[in-house]
Parts: sequence; structure tokens; C-alpha cells
Amino acid sequence: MESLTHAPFIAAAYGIAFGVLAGLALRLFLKRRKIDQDLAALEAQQPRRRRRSDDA
Amino acid sequence: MSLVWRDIAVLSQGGRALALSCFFLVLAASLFPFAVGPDTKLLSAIAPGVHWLLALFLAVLHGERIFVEDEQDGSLEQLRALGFAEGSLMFSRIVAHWVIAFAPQIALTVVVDIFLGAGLASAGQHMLSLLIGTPALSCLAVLAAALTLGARQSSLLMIVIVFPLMIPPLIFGVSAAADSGSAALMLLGASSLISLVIAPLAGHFALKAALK
Amino acid sequence: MHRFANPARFGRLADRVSPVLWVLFGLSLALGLYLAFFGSPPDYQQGQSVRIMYVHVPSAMMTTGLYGFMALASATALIWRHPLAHMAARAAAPVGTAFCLITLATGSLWGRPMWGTWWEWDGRMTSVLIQLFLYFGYMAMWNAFSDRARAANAAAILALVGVGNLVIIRFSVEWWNTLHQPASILRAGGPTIDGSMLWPLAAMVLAASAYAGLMILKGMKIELKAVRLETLMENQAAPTTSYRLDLG
Repeated sequence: MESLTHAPFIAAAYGIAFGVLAGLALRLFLKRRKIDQDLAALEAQQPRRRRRSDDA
Repeated sequence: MSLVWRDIAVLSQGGRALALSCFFLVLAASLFPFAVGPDTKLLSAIAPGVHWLLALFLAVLHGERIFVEDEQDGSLEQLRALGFAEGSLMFSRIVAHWVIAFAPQIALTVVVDIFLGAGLASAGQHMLSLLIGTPALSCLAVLAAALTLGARQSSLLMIVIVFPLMIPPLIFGVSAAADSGSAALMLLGASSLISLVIAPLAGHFALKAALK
Repeated sequence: MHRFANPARFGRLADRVSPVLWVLFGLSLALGLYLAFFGSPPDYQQGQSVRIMYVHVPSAMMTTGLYGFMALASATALIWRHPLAHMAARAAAPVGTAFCLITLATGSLWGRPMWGTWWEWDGRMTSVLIQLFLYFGYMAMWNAFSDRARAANAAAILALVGVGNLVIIRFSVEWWNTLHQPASILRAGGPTIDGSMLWPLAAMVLAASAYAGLMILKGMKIELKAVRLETLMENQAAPTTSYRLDLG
């Protein structure tokens, strides 16, 4: 009986904890992916840009 | 010493900064009766807290511009070139900040207490706690100003970093103002002394980085 | 000390340590959760809700521990001018903030069934709340400057001032609390730890530490990449502007 009344609080506590920690991991993952994309884009852009300035 | 006089003279802007402190205090104190009702019993009960919250706001109000103008017109660089160490620049600003922000507050304690319906006897206690505790607030405000010099949205940032650090003086100050024995006063004095050691030291490195 | 300052060397070290931490994290989390829910008895006073302790207490330890780590890394960065130390401190801040939020949320959820209140201005809870503000201030400092070196320096000084202040804050809040409510139920209710509760707690602390280690390493690698990105962009921006100037 008693454990029943406490169950939602326990579930919420563990839910919040794992939610926050998973959220942080996800945020870091997305951040890394974005930086990797930016780096790749920049490196791909490098030679093309030089060519354009040669045209000018 | 000449540096202290120079900073006070420059930062008080011919007394206008001091007048600002006075206006702010009287104005802000008169808002409390509107906020919590004109019940003088309640107002005098919260008077210690009111004094100290006003002190916190005064500290950041004047803290914001404590370095900015002198950094922009190059005066800070010049003072350094004249051989003043960063630590002494910090110290003189702390004194100037205290004179501009808190000397008016201590002088006006009685006026604020009359507004709040607190007796003259408690005004003395309030004044004593402000006198002993506000140096800590000046130290923290000037240190935060040095750290946030040149930052984006520096006034908001300053509030975010400085208010948590001001909680111990606030706690001790309110207790000392509410006259809960000499322990609070001693702890308040101790936090002022510690701040007077730490702030010039930490500010020394902060200014060095800011003026590089 | 500077052996690890080389980014490539750090990357290799991180790649070797990370798998170990992942395994440690998985094992200790599985063990901790099993022990927390099946291997330990309900508390005779608190009943089932004592199981919240196994996530609350490790989080609280991480909150304080990571702030200490941040301050240590900041001191290393300031004294030995170690570039990676700034990044370690910066990477630890969001992790500490996450654990701080969890500590507050689980404490609140623990308090509701136990003491009938979501929030009490109790000494410990108030200190954790202030610590959250300190974390926010630290992270705001990092984001407030366009110059990375300046931000790193200001944030490091703030972390050191903050850690000294944390001790004073703890003391002052505790003192303030005894002043206002001498017989708080929460203060009396530091639960006595039974042996059967110690093991799941230890396992969960280990899991939380491994998680924190993983996230810090990950965050540092991202920081290194961000620095590389910034320098690349600066190098690219420089010729463009001179080209435009030539046109004018």
C-alpha cells in the first residue's frame, strides 16, 4: 500500500535523473556533429574559394 | 592615496553619483509600503532586510560603471603606465565605490528607517551593520566589474555572478541589523576583512587579463 | 604536466580511457539499479521512497565534486598556463549543472512524500540552490566574451573565488538556518546508513563518476575541435577582407 503511494515519486525522480543525463549526452553529441559538419564544410570550401578569387 | 582621491573625484562625477545613491535609496525605500502595505509593524519587522537588499542593489548599480569609462578613454592604461599595480587600482576603486554607494546609504539610514516606521534605536543597529558589512559588498561588486570588463551584456552578467557571492554578507548583515547578538556582527566583520584581502588579489589577475 | 597539452596526445589518451569508462559506467549502473530496487530493503521509517536516495545522494556528491574539479582545473590553468585545463573546467560545468538540477529535483520529490513539502529553506537544499547559481554564473562568463583567452581567464578566476565562497556560503546558510528554525525535521532526518544501503549507493556513485568522466572527455574534445574551427575561420576571413580592401 505504502509503496504504491510512493511509486510515482520514485519513478519521477529516476525519470528526471536519467532524462537530464541523457539530454546532456545528446546535447554534446549534437554539438560534436555540428562542429564536425562545419569543419568538413570549411575544409571543402577552401580550394573552391581560392579558385573564385583567381577568377576575379 | 592620491589614486584614491582621484578615483573618488572622477567616479563621483562632481557629486552626481552620490546624489543618485540618495535618490535611489529614498525612492526605493518608499516603494516598500506600496508593495507590502502601509502597516508599520510589518515594515519595521522587515527593515533589516530592506536595508540590506537596497545595499545589494546599490552595489551593482554603481559597480557596473566602475571601470568602463576609464577603460574606454584609456585612463586605466595610463594609470598602469604610471606604475600603479593592478592590485592598488582595485583597492582604490573599492574605496571609491564604497564612498559613492554606501556612505550616502549609511547617512540616510535614519530616513529610510523613518519611512519604514522603525525606531531610532534600531536605526543605530542598522547603521552599524551597514558600516561593518558594506565593504564586503563593495569588494565583490568591484571584483565582478573587473571580471566582466568588456563582456557582452556585462550588467546582466554582473548580477548573475555577484548576487550568489553576496549571500553570506547578506545573511550576516541582516542578522546583525536585527540585533541577534554580537556573533553576527563578528561574522559580518570577518567577511568584510576576507573580501578586502581576496578582491584586490583576484582583481589583480582579472585586470591584468582585461587590460592586456 | 604539459605532456598532455598536445591535443593529439590528449585525443589518443581520451580514446583509450573512454571505453574503460563506458564499461565501468554500464556495469556499475546495472549493479547499482539492481541493488537499489531489489537488493536493498525499504527503510523502516521512509519506506520505499528511500530508493530516491540512490540517485539523490550521488548527484549531490557530483555537484560538489565537479565544482571542486572545476576549481582545481582552473587553478592548474592559471598557475601552469595549461591550455587543456581551461577546457576541462569548461567541460565540467554543464555536467555539474545537470547533477545540481537532479539533486534539487530528486530532493524535492523525496521531500514531498516524506515531509509533505516540495521545498524547504533548509540549509543543505539552499546551499545546493546557490551552487546552481554559481554554475550558471560560471557558464555565463564563458559565453560573454568574444575573445576566448579573456573568457577563459575570467571564468577561471570566478571559479576559484566561487569555490572559496562556497565554503562560506555553506557555513552562512547553515548558520542562518539554525537561527530561523532550530528544530527542522529535515536537519534531523539525515538517514542513518545501513550496510545494505551502502553497496547500491557506492555503485551509483561509481556510475555517476564514470558518466561525469565520459562527458568531460567528450566536452574537451568538442572544445578542441571548436578552437580548430575558430582558427580555420579566422585564417579564411583574413584574405577575404584584404581582397575587399584591394577592390575599394
